[in-house]
Amino acid sequence: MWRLALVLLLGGCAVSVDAKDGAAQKVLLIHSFGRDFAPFHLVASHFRSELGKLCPGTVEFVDASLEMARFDGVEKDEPLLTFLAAVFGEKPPDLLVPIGAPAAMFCHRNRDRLFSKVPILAVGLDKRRSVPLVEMPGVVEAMTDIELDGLMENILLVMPETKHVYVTMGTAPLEQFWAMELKRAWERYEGRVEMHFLDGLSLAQMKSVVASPPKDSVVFHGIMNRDGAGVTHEAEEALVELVAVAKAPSFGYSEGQLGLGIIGGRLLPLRESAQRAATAAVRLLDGEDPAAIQLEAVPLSAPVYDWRELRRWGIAESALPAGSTVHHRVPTLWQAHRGWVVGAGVVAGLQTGLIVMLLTARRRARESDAAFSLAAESVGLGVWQRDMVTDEIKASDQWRVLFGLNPSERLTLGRVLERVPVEEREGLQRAIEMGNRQGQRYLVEHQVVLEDGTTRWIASMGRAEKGKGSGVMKTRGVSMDITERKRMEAELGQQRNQFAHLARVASLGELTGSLAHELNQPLGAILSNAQTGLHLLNRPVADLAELREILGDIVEADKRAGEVIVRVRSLLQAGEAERAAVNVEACVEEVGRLMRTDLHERGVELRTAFARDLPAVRGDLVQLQQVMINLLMNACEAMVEREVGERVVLVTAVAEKDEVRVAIEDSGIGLPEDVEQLFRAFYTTKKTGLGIGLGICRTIMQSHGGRLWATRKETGSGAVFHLSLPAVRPLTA
Amino acid sequence: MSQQPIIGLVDDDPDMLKALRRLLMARGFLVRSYSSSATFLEELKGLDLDAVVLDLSMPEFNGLELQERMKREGYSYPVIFLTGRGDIPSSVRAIKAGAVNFLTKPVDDRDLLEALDQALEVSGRLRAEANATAEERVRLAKLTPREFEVLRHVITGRLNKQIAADLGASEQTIKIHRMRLTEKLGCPSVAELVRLAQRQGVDAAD
Repeated sequence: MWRLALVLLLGGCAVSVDAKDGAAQKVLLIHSFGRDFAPFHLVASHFRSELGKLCPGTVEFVDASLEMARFDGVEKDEPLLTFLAAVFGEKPPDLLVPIGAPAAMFCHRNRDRLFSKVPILAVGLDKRRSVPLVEMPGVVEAMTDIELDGLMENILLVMPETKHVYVTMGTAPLEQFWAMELKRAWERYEGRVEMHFLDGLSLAQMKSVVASPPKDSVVFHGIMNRDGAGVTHEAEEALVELVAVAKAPSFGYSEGQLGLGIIGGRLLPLRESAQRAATAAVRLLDGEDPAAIQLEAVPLSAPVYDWRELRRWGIAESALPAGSTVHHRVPTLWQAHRGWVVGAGVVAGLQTGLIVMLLTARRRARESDAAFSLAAESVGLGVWQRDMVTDEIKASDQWRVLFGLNPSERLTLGRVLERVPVEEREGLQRAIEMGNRQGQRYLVEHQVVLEDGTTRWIASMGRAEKGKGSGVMKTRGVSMDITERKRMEAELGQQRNQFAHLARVASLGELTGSLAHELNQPLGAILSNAQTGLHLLNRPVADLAELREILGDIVEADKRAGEVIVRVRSLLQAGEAERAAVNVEACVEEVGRLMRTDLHERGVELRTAFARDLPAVRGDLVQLQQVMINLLMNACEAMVEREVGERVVLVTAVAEKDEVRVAIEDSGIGLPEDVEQLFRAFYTTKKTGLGIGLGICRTIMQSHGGRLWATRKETGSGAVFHLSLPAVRPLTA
Repeated sequence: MSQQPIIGLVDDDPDMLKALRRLLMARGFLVRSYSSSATFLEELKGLDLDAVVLDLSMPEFNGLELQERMKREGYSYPVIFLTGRGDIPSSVRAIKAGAVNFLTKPVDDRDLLEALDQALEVSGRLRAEANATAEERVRLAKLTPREFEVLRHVITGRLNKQIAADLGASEQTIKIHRMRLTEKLGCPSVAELVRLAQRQGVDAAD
């Protein structure tokens, strides 16, 4: 049993055992256009990293590129074949991986001259592109299945008013193939929308077309590696340029385009197909018979959208198809401050760039010291140089001003460090020493306290210069004032906190109605106990033991009421809750995003499964999210003792009669004997975190006309928390 | 009422449950208390209660649902609801479903005891009715088959002469049967006989 488990664990890396001679197995990647052309560049890089993960340290990649696939005319295979033969000599690679159809065709044409005994794994092919290679023995193909109709349906679903579709495409043979396919597949939409294929135009021409399209137009971005003018465009450069000027919403076909300006939809899942290919590669490298490996074509992904683009074009999330995921969500606050945050980042980037540039310039042209200092000073940089033998630091006036040092005093590292707050000194010194020892460039940020007590933030960059021997003789560098940037960062952080606080106040303050319930429980207990006590005192002989017990209970209940008040006091002045239709799925997804870092840090994997056509529920989104956050936090805490791989939270949602039920299932330590004690108001509440206690969670659910309860997991240890909420529309509707 | 009344008490809050239990016991009630509505429902069969006090908001199923389930299973105990917050729609629903009262926590003992008095009155009436029906059943069982047959004809409103013809007996015999059965059932008038027959599910003759 043990042995079996071990073998399974090692399954992914069995090749490492095979490679007894210690040499890594060689995988030859043959690129169709070059390493950097979309969408294959992402397929290739995902494939590399996935295979690298499965077989760490035992696989070596060799890249070769057709390049000429970009060009028309007779393929010139000869030079590449000669080159590969020369590179590998007597020892052929262990696996051949052509990426894209042109590379696959190259392999087919030259199979007999191209390491004919080595298995081939063809990656990045689509079902529609019939490549004879896949019929040959020793070949495994990892295909995709791009449903062209689905691409158009998505456009019409998201932008139903669409009248014109502009299709940007390149003119290389592969691109022309897809242009033809699209034209044929989309013929049936004639009449409903007008198609404008822009293939044959130069990028500049395309830009001018999409910059002033007629009303109700969209742009569909196909493959664009070589435009009509014969200019090649690497990666998604063309796309980026086009969306920058486009006055119409952009759509695309591949995962690699999402985040660059397309709205989204069902996209070509590059990573997933690369993952599948990588597992097949492991099997092939492991010596498995290629005939035994069959891979199913990977269909388009579930719909994914870019939140920023949805907002930009005014598309409501409710208009998206069921099961959609929305990426690149930006908090409102961030958006409000995006301008200057990005600005600050750009400034910081520019500064760093400038420093590097200046350092380089400094090295190259030492004789132009004066000009250099002048340039440095004009952008507020201080320049310094330290002699490692004498420990003397020579610095420009500007630098001395930054550190608040006298223009004439002799400077040593020790003297300079006196300006740095004590608590930062050691770390700074260590960073500098390490940089010097390794002869690398280093960048440090630290504070300086001036004579008058004011502090400023300084960024310093330095580089060690080797002397004639082995030791470092000199270090030199530049420093600049980054106080303003630090201030902005801090302010942003603070505002984010305030925002979070406000959100919490708003939702909790609105809870007063349900909190009254929490308060009335202990108050009710107090009243009943007190009145019973009075009643007992009227008896001829009072039972003192019973009275004592009653008084003790009164004290306890009173403390409990006091706790409720303490917790709520500061939260009572908030506004009203917003009751609106809430999409449970989106709500959970959003919580997952909010907690992504938390979950990640705790090694917890969040899995979700939602029934199709889940009806919306009516409620306050923030409150519902707080409940879910709280339940997820609890789940995380319950699983601390588990191995990292076993920390899984499963959130499911189904519609049942006229309500929506959400279950949050963990694999943690389970529930206490008395499950209900968990829900007792505030008793189990932790002092920190976003959590608000199961008692309040339940009250929130009740105020929504819903319920919250817990059960034990049916198999294995763990707890299941159930939420039920009334659906907005009956299921029969 | 000679016996101590038995009250069913359900509240998921343990402090509240304890306090109410204590209050009711000090006032001479017997109390069966439960912190879970599900457990209460499970054990309901073995209980002979006079009234039920329910917390409105409880986890598994709330007070209103519990009330409905009790009714569905044939328990018609009078119900008093307690709630932590005044909730008009719920109270309306509860009262419509036959709740005796709807009280807000913290509840004053006088209000609760008053509500319980009311509830016991209701359950007393229900019990009396149930007893009356049981008594009638005993009396009905005392009839001979012939007398029972005559009763089925009498409640159709027919005259003795017609009944005699229907049953193939003399009018005099029917008269005697009729006298005996009115005696046994303690109902002098035809109208009362009809009502009793209805209550006990006696079918009229064709």
